[in-house]
Amino acid sequence: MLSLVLKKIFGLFATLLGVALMTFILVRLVPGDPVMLLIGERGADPAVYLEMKQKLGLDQPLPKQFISYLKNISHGDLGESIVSHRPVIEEFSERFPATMELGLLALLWAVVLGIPLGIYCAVYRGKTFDQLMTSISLVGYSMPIFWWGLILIIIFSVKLGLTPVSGRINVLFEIPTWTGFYLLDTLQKSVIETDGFAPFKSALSHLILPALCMGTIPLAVITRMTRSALLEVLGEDYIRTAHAKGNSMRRVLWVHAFRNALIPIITILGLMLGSVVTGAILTENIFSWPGLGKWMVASVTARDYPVVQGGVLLIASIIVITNMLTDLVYIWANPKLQENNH
Amino acid sequence: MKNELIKNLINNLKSNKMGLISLIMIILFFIIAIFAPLIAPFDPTFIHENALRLAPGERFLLGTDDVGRDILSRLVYGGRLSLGIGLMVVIFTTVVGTLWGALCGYFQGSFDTFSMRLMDLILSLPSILLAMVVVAILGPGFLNAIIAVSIVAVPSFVRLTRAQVLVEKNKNYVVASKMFGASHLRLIFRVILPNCFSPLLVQATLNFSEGILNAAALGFLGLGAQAPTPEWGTMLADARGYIEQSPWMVTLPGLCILLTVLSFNIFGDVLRDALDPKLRGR
Repeated sequence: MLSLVLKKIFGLFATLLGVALMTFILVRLVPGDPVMLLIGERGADPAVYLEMKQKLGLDQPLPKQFISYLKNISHGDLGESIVSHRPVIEEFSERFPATMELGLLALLWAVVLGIPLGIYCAVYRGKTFDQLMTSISLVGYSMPIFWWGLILIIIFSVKLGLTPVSGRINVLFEIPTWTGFYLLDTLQKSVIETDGFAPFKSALSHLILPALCMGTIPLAVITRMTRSALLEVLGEDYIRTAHAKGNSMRRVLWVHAFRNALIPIITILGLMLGSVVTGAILTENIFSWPGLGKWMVASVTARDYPVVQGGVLLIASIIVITNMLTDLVYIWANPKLQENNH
Repeated sequence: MKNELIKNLINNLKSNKMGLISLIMIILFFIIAIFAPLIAPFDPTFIHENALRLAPGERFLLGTDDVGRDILSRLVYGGRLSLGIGLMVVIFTTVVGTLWGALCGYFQGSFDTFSMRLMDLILSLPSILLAMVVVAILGPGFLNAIIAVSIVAVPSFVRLTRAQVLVEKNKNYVVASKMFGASHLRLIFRVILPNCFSPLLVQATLNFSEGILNAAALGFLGLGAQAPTPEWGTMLADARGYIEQSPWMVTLPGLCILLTVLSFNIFGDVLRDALDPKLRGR
């Protein structure tokens, strides 16, 4: 087990190095001169140009540039945004909690609804409800969520007037930063003393629609996965044995079947982080949610390369690390894999 | 093999109404795309003055957009673009992915190891983020969006082909051909690859819908096709400002995307079942 974990961690570092190399190459593939991009056409005084080039280390050979890029990364220095002139890492950490809060809530409702739905479908396989849910989840799976978000806005915000259309909270409230999660920050003592629960309600009402939108595809995937994982387990011999021993349907389902079906479901959840990021990119742009997705799109549009580079590096690292943790949980829960030494 | 596939497919379609509907939809989409100039009542980029954001009615069946262009015509031509994108993505990923994957699986060695690490790396990024990075390098635009979406779809194809080739290449019939003196090229293209056909076909169908979806997403984010191109995602982006006053501008392009993607996904499922009956109902 230990050697396997060490192997995985070594692999992780190799992948992270690869990600760093990829983002390093990315900026160098951009047509045009990066120095010109930074100082702008007008500041093209030869002396300024040379100074900037030296400052950025662009007069060095490429391998040397890559090593100093790695050094900078290890210090947490990801460069500066061309647009705002602020460190990339600072901009990232401001927006990260917003995306996390949205993503967690989206996954939460997808899990809370998806797992029971999947179980119900598996138990009543082939019945009308199962067929209906299977069709609906297929629609959910194919959903262009950038359209779905707009439809949700038309229904809930425009027609019913239930939820706000954009942002994280009513701008009138001033919330001191604590966790960066507005649902928690608005419950701080100082906030409740001044405004009561109004800020919390405002944050929640801003959060519901984007989370609903972002959770749609994960919900469809989780329902489908739970159904098929449980169906597979229910077909096993030991389930028949459990039935034969006179266990109640409920006991067989929960004690014997569900726990074994949970392993693939957990794996899918871990691997779903990538699709959550995709969801964040699209959802945040629909609902003007000030998170990483909106930030990335804005920086691609503005050709703010240091931000694109740093943002991709950080997001990719998070995904790669989560995938490895999921792998480890999977191996830990599945002793068969430990022997095969994958 | 192919006859059996078609027989299975017809049997499956007979029992699976959704599958049949999806196939009819796909055929319909292609007919509309091919005969777009005959079907569309107007030029998709023609601006009808005094006809801004008209609700669906007699003259403009599905209404007009914010500058007075006929939405029906734009949707019809948009279908042409979307299916074109899908086709180009499928052709690109199939050619590049099959070749690359087959070489990796057949020869293995350090090229294979390097390629697989590279694919893992690319797959670790969400496809839309990677496509955005490609667009950041190449600049926004319709053609660049297609390139971006195609690049993003290659790794899964490479891995699938490689895995298939790895399984097939040690089977007896391949070893026999080798003993008869078949060259590497012949072994790869005439002996092994035809037997990897089924899973690759399913993957190609899925790549089609994913390509359309990703290209529309890029268009929606303003990084794909630019106005006045009647691309569905771009049309949605333009319509965002008029959610309250003109909801039909938002509803229709998205519905087109959903129906296309859904049809291809359902058909991909049916195809998979027909190719591998064991998987049915999963």
